[in-house]
Amino acid sequence: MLGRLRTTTVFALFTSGVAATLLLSGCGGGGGGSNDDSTSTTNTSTTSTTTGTGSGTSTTTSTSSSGTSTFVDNCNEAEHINNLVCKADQFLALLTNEQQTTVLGSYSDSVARTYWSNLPNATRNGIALGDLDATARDAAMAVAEQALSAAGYEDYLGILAADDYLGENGGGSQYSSDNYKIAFMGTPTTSGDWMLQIGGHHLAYNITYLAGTGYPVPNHFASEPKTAFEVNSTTYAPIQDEGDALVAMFEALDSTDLYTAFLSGESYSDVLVGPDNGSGVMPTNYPTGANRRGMLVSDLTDTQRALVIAAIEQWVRDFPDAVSDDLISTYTSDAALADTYIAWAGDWDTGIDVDSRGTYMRIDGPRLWIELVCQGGAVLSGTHFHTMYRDKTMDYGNTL
Amino acid sequence: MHAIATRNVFLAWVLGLILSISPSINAHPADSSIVHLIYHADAIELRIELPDYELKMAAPQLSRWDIVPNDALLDYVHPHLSVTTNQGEPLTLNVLPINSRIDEDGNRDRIYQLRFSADTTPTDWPLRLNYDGITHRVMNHKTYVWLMQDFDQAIFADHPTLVDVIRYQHTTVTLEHSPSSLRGLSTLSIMGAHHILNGLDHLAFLVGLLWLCVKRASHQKASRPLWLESISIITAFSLGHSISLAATVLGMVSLPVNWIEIAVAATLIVTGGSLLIKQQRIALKFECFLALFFGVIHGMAFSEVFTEMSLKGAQLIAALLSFNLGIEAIQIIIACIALPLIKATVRLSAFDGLSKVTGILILLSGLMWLIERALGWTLPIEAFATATPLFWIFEYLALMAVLALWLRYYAKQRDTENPTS
Repeated sequence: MLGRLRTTTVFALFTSGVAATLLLSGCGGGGGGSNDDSTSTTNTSTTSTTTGTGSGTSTTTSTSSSGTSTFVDNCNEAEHINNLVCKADQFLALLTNEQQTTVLGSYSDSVARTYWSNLPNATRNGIALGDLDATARDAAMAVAEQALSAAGYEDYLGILAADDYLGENGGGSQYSSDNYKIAFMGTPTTSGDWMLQIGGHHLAYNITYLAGTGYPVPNHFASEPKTAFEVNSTTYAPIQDEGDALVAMFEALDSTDLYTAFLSGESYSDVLVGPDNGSGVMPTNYPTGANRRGMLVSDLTDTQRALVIAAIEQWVRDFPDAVSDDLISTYTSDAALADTYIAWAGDWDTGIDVDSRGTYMRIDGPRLWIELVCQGGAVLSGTHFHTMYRDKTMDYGNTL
Repeated sequence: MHAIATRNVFLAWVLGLILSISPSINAHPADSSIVHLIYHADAIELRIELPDYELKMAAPQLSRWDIVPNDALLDYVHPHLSVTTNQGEPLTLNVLPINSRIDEDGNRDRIYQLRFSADTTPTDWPLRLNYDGITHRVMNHKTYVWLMQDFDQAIFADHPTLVDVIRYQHTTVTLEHSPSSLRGLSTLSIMGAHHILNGLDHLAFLVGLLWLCVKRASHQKASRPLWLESISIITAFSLGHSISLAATVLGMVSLPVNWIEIAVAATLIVTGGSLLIKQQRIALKFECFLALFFGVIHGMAFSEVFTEMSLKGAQLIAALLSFNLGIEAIQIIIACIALPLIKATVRLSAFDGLSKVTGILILLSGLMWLIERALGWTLPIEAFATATPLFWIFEYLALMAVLALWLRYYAKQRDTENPTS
């Protein structure tokens, strides 16, 4: 009896050891875990209808791969900041406690506040749109819509669509509107200090609110493709106007001024003052002194100057008047324009050719910094634009 | 306080940069340069990597070559690179042979590599690295300066440190180095311990040896206590691997890595097989010889850790001793835990069966590794080896010990209930 038991036991021991080992091996080695940056590979196709009720409430009925939205927008405050905070609260209320923890970061954490990137699969603050149900996703989009102007929101939708376009055209799952994240650094209030971050591939909105005044910088904005494309029968061209405005600005110069604006001896394969990648500090690599080169805007004709201002507005007016009016006044004052240079780099013989990799254009003011570079395609052939809009003084509300 | 804040910011900045670098390889073609620094006791080595597209943007004259030749590359880099001492004296940079390697793969642009070295004395530090290759022309270009090895700061290639990023208007980097070997020595000891803990083959071999020792002692009338015999065997193994580790690292012996790995697998097959043999036939002397001989083989495998390090002279000897110390310490700890567990199964009537199961498991593992390493196949053993080897080993031994105790209890109960059976 004991002999049989012994044999059985040895066998049982052997098999249980192996089984336990394999089981645990599967748990430890094969799962891979969830990656903060890896999101659903399924692009969310959303159709939505927004109905105004006349009493300030709008109901959005949308259907997406993440379910049917029952989002009701109850915010209709007159003041921009009040309405934004209302929409932020509305969004937060739709989240689970865990999701709220993910969305809310610390305003005093300068490193976290400077954490953003142009890359598709970088680590970012906040929660991905793809991790939200349809209702919460609509609420997140409502926050973005409020934080941006109509033109800005259109560009935002275009950038999201551009990533879906890249994903569908050979880019794979790392390119998807689902991957874009939203975060609040600090609690949204109408009178306190906090920051809204919306970011993903080719996009970084970093809007700091100081006692209700918004500073929408640094703002990275790019798109591949750079010209019009179609997704779900809708045509988008989120960055074409910006590119056209800068080109028009330089095309209005005669050859002498164009040469003055030419940054001879300098080449660019990307923007100069790019993502801060969690530096925790304001960038220090703006050109200074004699390195600030180009054509001085105050030396231009009124028509040429108007084109410069039009180009500036392409970036700054992506934000509501409550945010952009003061900034436009500051950037385009006579004093500011007397210290603002427009400059370009690339191939002098070819001239300003946005289809040529390395063509670079910028507006460099005492505070304003706008730059655009033509980069080679990451997924598609041809070039695409990378741009930066910064405020040398008021990036992050100057509160790092 | 300010220093702490600055340090935190810097660390976070470094972290951010690290996180931002790796995905960039997949997202867009690589466009940054890298300088790898290796600090020797009396010299500094620089390995510079330059991406093809940006290099040709910065130096259009190089565009006439599809692959830029070494001489042209050196002619371009030399005026943009210097290392000066604390007193501002430039160090003589010697071009190290070949390694002007070109990397090309689907995700990255072509990368050129160059190597330089310069002799240093302790009073030269801190050094200043002045480098504006590509950045002098391509304004957005960045060069990441990584410290790959500094023995005194316990920095090695498997966990390099980002020193700085050379960029527009920032082309000088201060290179700090404070001579103190203690950190390096302690890190090497930990690496030695980790090498055993993370190596299922070494662990399985060690446990096999111990099991063999217990089994032999249970069958033969031991003239010495078990712990003393165990120490003899472990000492023989240690002696073997210490000799071969030193000989291999000092370049006195050189065998292909794959051969060594295959030999390690073979030691497992023999050890596992020995557990299947009747123990009356195995003497302590034979087991000690086995341990010594196989120790030699395992020691050569341990030396792989040193292949990535460029250590020389006294630093190398000290590193070797520290690494070995770590190995010895962890072996003794493992023996102290494993021996009582194995011993718990000795009085069990099924001990011989359990020994055979253990022997078969070790033998099969060795066989799988042998096939894997000799033929390049991937077998299920990898799932165990890449997980937590120490856990598997102790889980197995603990399971055996618990079972043994339970069986003893069961047998006692039966005897109590039925004394005549």
